[in-house]
Amino acid sequence: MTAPDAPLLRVTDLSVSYAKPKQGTHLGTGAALHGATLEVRRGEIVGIVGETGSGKTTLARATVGLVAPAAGTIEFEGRDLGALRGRALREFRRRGQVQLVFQDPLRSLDPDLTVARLVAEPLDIAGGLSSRERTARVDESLREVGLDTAEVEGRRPRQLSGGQRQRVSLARAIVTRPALLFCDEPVSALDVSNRNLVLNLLDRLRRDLDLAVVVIAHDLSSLAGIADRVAVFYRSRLVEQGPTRDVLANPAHPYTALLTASAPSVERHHEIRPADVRLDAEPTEARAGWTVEGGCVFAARCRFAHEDCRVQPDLAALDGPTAREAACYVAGNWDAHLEQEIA
Amino acid sequence: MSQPEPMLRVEELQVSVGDHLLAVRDVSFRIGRGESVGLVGESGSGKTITCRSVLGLLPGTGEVDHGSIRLGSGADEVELTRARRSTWNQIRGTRVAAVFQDPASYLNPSLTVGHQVDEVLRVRGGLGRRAARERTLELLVEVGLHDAERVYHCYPFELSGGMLQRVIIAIAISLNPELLIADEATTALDTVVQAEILELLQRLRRTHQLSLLLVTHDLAVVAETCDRVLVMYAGQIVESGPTAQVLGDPQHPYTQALMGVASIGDWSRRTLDTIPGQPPAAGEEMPGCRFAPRCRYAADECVQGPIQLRSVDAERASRCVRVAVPA
Amino acid sequence: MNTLRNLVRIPVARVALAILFVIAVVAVFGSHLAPYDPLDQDPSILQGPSAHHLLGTDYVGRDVLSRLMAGTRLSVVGALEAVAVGLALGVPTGLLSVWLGRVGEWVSLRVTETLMILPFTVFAIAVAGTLGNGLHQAMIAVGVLTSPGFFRITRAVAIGLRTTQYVEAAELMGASRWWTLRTHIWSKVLPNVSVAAAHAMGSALLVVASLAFLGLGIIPPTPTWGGMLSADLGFLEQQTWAPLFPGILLVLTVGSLNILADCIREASAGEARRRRGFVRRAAGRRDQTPIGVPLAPEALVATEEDRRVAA
Repeated sequence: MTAPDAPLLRVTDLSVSYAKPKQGTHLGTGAALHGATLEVRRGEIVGIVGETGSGKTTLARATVGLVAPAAGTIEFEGRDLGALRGRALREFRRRGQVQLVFQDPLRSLDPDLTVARLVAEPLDIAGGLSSRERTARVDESLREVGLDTAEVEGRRPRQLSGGQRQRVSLARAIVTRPALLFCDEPVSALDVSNRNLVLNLLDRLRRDLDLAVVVIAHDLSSLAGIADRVAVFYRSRLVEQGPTRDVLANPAHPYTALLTASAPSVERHHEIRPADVRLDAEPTEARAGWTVEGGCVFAARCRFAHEDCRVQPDLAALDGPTAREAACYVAGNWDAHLEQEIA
Repeated sequence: MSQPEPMLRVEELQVSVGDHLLAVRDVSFRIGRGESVGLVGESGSGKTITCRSVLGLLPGTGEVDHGSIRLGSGADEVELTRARRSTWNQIRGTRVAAVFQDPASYLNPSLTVGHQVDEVLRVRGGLGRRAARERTLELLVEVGLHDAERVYHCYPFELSGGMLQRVIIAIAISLNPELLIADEATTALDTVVQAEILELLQRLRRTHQLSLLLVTHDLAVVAETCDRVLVMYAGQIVESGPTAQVLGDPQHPYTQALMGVASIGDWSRRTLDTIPGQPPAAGEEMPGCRFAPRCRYAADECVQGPIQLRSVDAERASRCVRVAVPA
Repeated sequence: MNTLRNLVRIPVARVALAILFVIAVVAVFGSHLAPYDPLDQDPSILQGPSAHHLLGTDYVGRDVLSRLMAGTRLSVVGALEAVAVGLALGVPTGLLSVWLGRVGEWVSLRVTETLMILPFTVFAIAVAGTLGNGLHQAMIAVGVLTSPGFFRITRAVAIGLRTTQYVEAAELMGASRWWTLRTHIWSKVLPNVSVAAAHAMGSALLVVASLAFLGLGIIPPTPTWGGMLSADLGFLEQQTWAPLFPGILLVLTVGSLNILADCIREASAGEARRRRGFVRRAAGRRDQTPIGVPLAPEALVATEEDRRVAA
């Protein structure tokens, strides 16, 4: 048992290379991951944001064991998950303490099974509960996610709406009473008004079940309302991390600034425009080569890149009251550079 | 503010699909030359069917029951609802063009990207091989693909979603159309790329005197890109007007609700608003206001009979009984 | 199962199933239902169809109808043997092969390819020739030759399913391979295997008939369709129509089986398309289009809008 304020999940320096996929499994995103470090505590929602190919999905897949890490450790409740293999791994999975909710419920729910069977599957596999207990748990899960058991239990995924499918997917994930939940782009396929329904649901689940939730998203609006902390990934590297509001309102890393500036909003709260942070012209041959030679991953697009950036900066803590980190030599100071330029 | 000369006039458009289900009811709007208009709505609101009517690409079971769509003005004017195939073949590409959501599925995966842009220029534009190639390279640079020579020889699978969308845009503007319809063109793209594509569309608007009809479900996108906005719900336009005014002071409960759930740009933690209920099923007939079941202000008068679009002022309209009709 | 339900909705499938049902009944109860003993000889030889003998008599006066009915059993049983052996050898190995490593995969594929090259009938003749005049031995041999086909089909479907997200999700739940097979893979393999099995039955029937036609594996005067065809050919001048009877029976049965196979494929095609989904590798975000949207009015209205689905 871990101490109360010790992190539930601690990922340290995790690296995943473009290795050949584990036999027979999905090919995965193919993105590499370099030196990712992350901590998640119970009752917290951590957002992971990044473009396609940034490594955010790889991180989730590596944590649950779908992809073998090349380096680094993954500790859950103090226990090294990376070392689990074969039967031990299966035993761990059956306990259902760590769950992954896939991005597309149409693909991750067997189309031939009814909702009742789908949600009960983790319990059926694990065994140990009587049939009545299982039915009760399934009913409890469905109610928890806001679905009417009687109405949906006999239906198949195709007969549900998109939001309902997403909720069935969530119900399946919480039926084992997990401690940690990874949600891969839970709302990308939903309409704007219903996005918030599911996000509110995640927030409530976190409170009611004392879950730790990691939400992976490519757009900030999904995270802004509910995430306590956010980790920004770019091309396989973690570039910034910290409390959501601080990171998004005052980004320390130029990429985060680009992200926040690019996000469309109804009321213009941010004064920086994407063009201010982005390198508009095509990068020179030399600059494009910096990344390949071990330089900063963002160098090719960064307006503030300079000679130092030929070496990938490490994730370093920033000065200030809150726990923030960024991997940039001009972290937190680039807006001064910007003012200089404009001046 | 003087109205720009209208180049698209849609009046009382009614479109049915399938078994006489009305997907679009009484839709009227105008787009002026060089204007950008946003058409916002959830899925099932009829916004896509409206676009498709303007492009003549309705599904097999769809047909325009009623209303008119007029492109151009004066001698150039064409009535699109009655247009025959030969007219469409002339108009599409040269006067109206479109960009859709998933760029990869609109490109032939076995041909290079350059070849496909060339194709349009040669077949429709009548350019010879060399001239087409030069023009293609120019177009690629214009849409932001600076490494045009390299991109020209790339196959679609070698390019990212954002780059493919730029290629599609290049094809769309290659014949200098008057109107560009972007149907959820940025929905499937990453945030940063989305912003770039929207900027590109704005730039092209200025340089090509292009009118833009931007169809999206995201109010935030419209806020940043469009001069005017049309809000659609369940097949009808429920509010219209200049973007800043409509978003600053919405005159329809649905628009208000959309504002509540749109990305505000305020990053603080909060409970997120939702719009309770579901839009009506396609073609469902309702006695009065189609938003009434979900509306917090619904009253008896709302379900008495069909609600007409009322003017809020010279430039704005709203389909809500609570809007005071100006004297 | 959905496929079965879809299947009986197709009118042609119902006809095929009806025909096959009749054949099956005759195969089981043929000798009892037959009006005459098929071996009973009668002085009135080579008669045409009449009130006494509905299909006439053959060259030693035996009732043609009775012989056809009695012969059904042999043909059907022979074909069933072949298909049963094929399925038993091919399907389980196909399912298990999904978890083989590179070497195992290579070996299994080469073995199956070798077996697939050998032509049925010639091989069956060779077996009948060397192992003695047994139709059963010959059909078992044919069964061994059909097993690679089942192996490949089962393997192909199972491998496709192996990489689906729902199988991955099951793996994440700690499911054993057996569980995954049972719950997720089996019911989806079944339609494809059924199609192949129906086709195989048809081919096997033809092989049996061919062997009987050539006189291999059958001890006369046991009635068989193929044997009757062969005998009839000797008396074409007297009974020009005679080969029609066994011939039509063959055509009906094999034809029904092939049509049934097509119908099963059609009935499951809708399912399969929906199940597989598209993995559109657009270099942007992964696509989320729901495929096979049911033809409700919503589907007609929501076209691009499918991609944004309401809760």
